[in-house]
Amino acid sequence: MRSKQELAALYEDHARTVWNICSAYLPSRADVEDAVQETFVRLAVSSKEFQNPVHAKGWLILTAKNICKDELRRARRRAQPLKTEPAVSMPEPDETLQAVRQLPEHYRDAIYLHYYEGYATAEIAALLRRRESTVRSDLRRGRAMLKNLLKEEYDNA
Amino acid sequence: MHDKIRAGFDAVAPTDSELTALYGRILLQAEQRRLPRRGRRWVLMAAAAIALLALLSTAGYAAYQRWFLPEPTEYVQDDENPGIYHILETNTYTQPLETEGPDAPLSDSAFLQQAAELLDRVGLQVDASQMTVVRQENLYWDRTEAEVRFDRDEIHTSVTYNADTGALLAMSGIDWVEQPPVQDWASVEELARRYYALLPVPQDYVLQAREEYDPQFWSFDFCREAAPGIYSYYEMVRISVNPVSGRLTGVNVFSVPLLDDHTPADVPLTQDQAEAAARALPSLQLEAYELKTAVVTVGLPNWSFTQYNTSGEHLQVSKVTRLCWVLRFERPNSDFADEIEVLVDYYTGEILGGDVTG
Repeated sequence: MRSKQELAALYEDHARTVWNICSAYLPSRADVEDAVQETFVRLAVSSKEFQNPVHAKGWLILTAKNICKDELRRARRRAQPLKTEPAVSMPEPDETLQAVRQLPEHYRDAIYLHYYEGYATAEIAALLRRRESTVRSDLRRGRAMLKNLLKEEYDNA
Repeated sequence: MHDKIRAGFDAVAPTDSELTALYGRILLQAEQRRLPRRGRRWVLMAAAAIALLALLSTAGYAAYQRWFLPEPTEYVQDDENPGIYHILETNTYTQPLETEGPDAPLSDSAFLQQAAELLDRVGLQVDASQMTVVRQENLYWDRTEAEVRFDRDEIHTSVTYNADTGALLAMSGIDWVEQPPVQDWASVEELARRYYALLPVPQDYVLQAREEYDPQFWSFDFCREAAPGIYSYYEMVRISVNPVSGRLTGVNVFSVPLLDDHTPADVPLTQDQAEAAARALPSLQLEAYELKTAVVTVGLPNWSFTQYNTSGEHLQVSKVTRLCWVLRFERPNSDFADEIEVLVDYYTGEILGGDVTG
């Protein structure tokens, strides 16, 4: 079980990253909040020992992703859309974030970590436990797909 | 692109006060979850003891099974290139695997000309004077590549060759050629076959798989029948087509030959033997994992999980593929990294590598 001190430090360091990861998967703020909460609750009750900050961050990212995917699966099974009316007003996501959400999962993660967090491909590979060459290819394809999606937005506007 | 992505995430970012409030709820929820666990401590300890006994039995059985397996073939380290391992040539190379390269190194202008001709063949006319050649080392495949690049309207077109042999490796960013729209798989497959026939690649491969990467990007995998009934995805030409416009959007060529040196007297491993070999590997600790799938296929050794590589880093991959069992293990009820793939040589039982895929 994790001490409050350790939990607080990890929350301070990584809450925004976890929030952004969840935002890339889930459409409403309420769902994002729930997923972030669940991620850190699992961290709090887990006795997992981290070897270094990268390990902790990788664990949080993968856990958050899995929670989001579970939520999306549950929503699909219920054949109901995810919450669309947030309890607290949420800024309308811009077209780029909406396009990022449409990307396949592996492209989405690589794009977020590279372009938002500023990680190099080798670091992303370590965080997501993928090969570096795979990350490079994901970035290339994700970027191309994102450009196409955004181009369509402009074309349709 | 970079600024747009940042702005997209910043627009939905939480405020500091929201994060503080959320942290309060996390502490409360965590405390609620911890409480019942304390009450169940004895039950959990008893369950852990039973699980330990079960694991010991499994490990013992795995060791027993391992005793029956043939002695694995040795792989040796290349003294001049530490970290790179070669299959012993004396007992594995039964046929020439290297294709002859050109007599003289190919010049940049030769690659430019080849790329311009190829792009023209698939319907894209480009000005060769606007193209550049970049030579780069591909550490994963241990080869030098010559990438011919051409940028227009923010679309980056590239044609990549093996710089030593001149073989085509990949094409990408060729997706603005106008063609009549098509929508269904059969029509797009027909187009993929036509594009395949235009490329300077082996023409006897068989279409084995198709995949919708996204609505705008369908791929078709043409593979060599490397062993009777077994098609290699490492000797493959992947053609990607835009199903709306019918345009060719990408090409990837893989050319890693199968080294199949078994004799008619060799007896292949059963699935149970292959699973036992994987479970006997100490570095994997597969006790908590369940075997989900097991297939005999062509695999690319990478020596992950083996004695040659205990650091967890990926070594350079092999120059040849092997017939192997590909076993996929899954850990039930795990939060993350819950799938492990293990390659076991079909005839010798050697662990050839694998991947953590969860």
